[in-house]
Amino acid sequence: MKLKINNLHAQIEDNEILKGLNLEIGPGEVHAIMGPNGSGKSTLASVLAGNDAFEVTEGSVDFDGKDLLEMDADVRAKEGLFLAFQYPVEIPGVSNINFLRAAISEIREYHGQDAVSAKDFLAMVKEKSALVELDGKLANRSVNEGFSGGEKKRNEIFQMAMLDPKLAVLDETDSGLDIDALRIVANGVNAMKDGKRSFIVITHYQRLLDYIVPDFVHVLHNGKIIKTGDKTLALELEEKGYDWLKEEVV
Amino acid sequence: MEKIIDIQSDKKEKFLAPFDNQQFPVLGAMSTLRRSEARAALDSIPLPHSRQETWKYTRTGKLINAVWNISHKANEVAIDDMKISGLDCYHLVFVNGHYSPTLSDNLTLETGLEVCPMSQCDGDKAAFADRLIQKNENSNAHLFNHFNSAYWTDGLLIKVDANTEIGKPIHIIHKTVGTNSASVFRHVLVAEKSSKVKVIQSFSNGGGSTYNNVLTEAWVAENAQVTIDKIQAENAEGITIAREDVRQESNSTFHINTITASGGFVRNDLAIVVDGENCMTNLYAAYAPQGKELVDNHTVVDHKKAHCESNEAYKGIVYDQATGVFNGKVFVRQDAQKTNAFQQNANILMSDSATMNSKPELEIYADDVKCSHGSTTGQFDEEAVFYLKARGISDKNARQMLVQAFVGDVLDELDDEVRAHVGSLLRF
Repeated sequence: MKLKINNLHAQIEDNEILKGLNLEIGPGEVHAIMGPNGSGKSTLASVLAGNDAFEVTEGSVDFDGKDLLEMDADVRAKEGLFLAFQYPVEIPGVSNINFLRAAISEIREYHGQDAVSAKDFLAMVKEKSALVELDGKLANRSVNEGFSGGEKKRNEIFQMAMLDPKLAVLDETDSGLDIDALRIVANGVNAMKDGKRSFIVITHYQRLLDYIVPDFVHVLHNGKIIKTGDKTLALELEEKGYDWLKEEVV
Repeated sequence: MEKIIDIQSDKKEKFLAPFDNQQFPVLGAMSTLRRSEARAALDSIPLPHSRQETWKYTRTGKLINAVWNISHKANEVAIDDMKISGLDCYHLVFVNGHYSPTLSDNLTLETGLEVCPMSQCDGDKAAFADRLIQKNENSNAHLFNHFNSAYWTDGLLIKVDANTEIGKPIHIIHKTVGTNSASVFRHVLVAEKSSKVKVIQSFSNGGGSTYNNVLTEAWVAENAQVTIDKIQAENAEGITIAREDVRQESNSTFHINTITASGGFVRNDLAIVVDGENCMTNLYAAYAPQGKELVDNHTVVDHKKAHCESNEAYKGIVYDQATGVFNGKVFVRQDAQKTNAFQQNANILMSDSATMNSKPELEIYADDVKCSHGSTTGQFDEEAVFYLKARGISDKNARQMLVQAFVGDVLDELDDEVRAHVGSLLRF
């Protein structure tokens, strides 16, 4: 998997949020994106996943040789991009399992593969829900309905494990999690590292990066990446905050 | 002003003329009297117009201004697609307003169940039906309900004996074909004490424009349980006026599911009088008009006695330039203490040109009751669509999944076979 973001500009309702963002991600790499509130972190995640609410005005995103921005959101998922939502949506009446089954069927069909059997599917559900210690009962409930904050986030990672993406974008998956839930989520992510799958981990806090160790740490400010370093940069940010960087840029 | 009235009554005369010169089944002296009384009511009631509360959003011009043919004969009519696959039930079929013996099951169905086409009722049966029709004079009947009383040509008398549970659902199939073809049905359903029965009514049409007017009177005696599934699936040329008049005695249960999958113009009036203690009343509906279709549901639940519960959930998905109307009224009379009455109307508008008019009403005269009503009309939850798409589900499938989930709790009320049948009719 290779992702190349070049000079990406995006806006929502005439309000430009991404202002020329550049980022390259290679196979098996874990990139952390940090930055203060309003810097554009979640916008980046939404734009990559294909949320129509955001308009890309300039720039390009190359995803394994294909133009990502030309694809509809579902096609991006079919091509192997996964977004773990910061705020997973509750969908009453749609069962977690049925919707995942439908998603996997569509993805397999897209790749010309046979449908997965009910038996294999259920075995997979069992295995992957164990990975994030998600109660089997939750898998049968309506999507995220009545889930606690931690359960929602674990459900995101469970879905990621089920869909087996090439690139996973985790949008503030750690927010609102206590330390136990954080550990469970991180273990789930780490179990999916295979040297090929890549991750973009968006977070406010260095805490998560103790568990999911990044290869690169980027600081996003005012719609651009203003600094890139290794995991020690996250520690430095934790200690000093973002202001010194902002001043450096100015 | 006088001139306007002239034009209106002229219009009405033209609308009624084809129906006036028909032969109608005669049950007994009272039915003849009732027909003439209803005919007189038609003279005195003005045509519906938008200044009347009950017709505010529903234009009846297409119905009034057409010249209807009430005696359209149909020979070979296909009704197999109206049958519910996998469901073991009795079939009774009406074509163009008349009972079809060749398409129906033998009328001797099972012990304790009497089924007779109204056009064939004689002797005791005729007197029995006559008495019930006469008894059920309803004050809030509108013009087209009186129309039904004046001009019905056929229907079913269904009588379930006391302490009898009918093993299979009774499926009444209404098919109207031809151009400007009208069918007028009167059904009488009597569930005697501690009996149980389920009736499925389905409606479909073919050919040119059609007009179905169906009125069902249901008598739910003490401790009886009656379920009606009403499946409306007419084309854009179909006009339907349907009414259920229901009277419940103590400890009885009445449950109706109204599924309006399609139909150019559909007006449903549901009037339930709960006249006994400890009754349960359930009204569920799903409707999904498309194109320029209109679905208008008017319901009245009248709680007269104490310790009763009613649940009402009407859910609509309105597409294109279609219109939905909901007017649900719940009365809780002074003696109806400890009533639990819940009413919900929820709608999704699928386009900027779709219209929904919703009016929930509660009138409470008792002081120790639990009642709630709510109405929501909104657009599609685009965040939910995006969430599903982000998992690899196409836009079309994501929307279909969400629509099905939205009406899911209504469809859950149906038996599996009926649900599957309805699923194939709904055009999500």
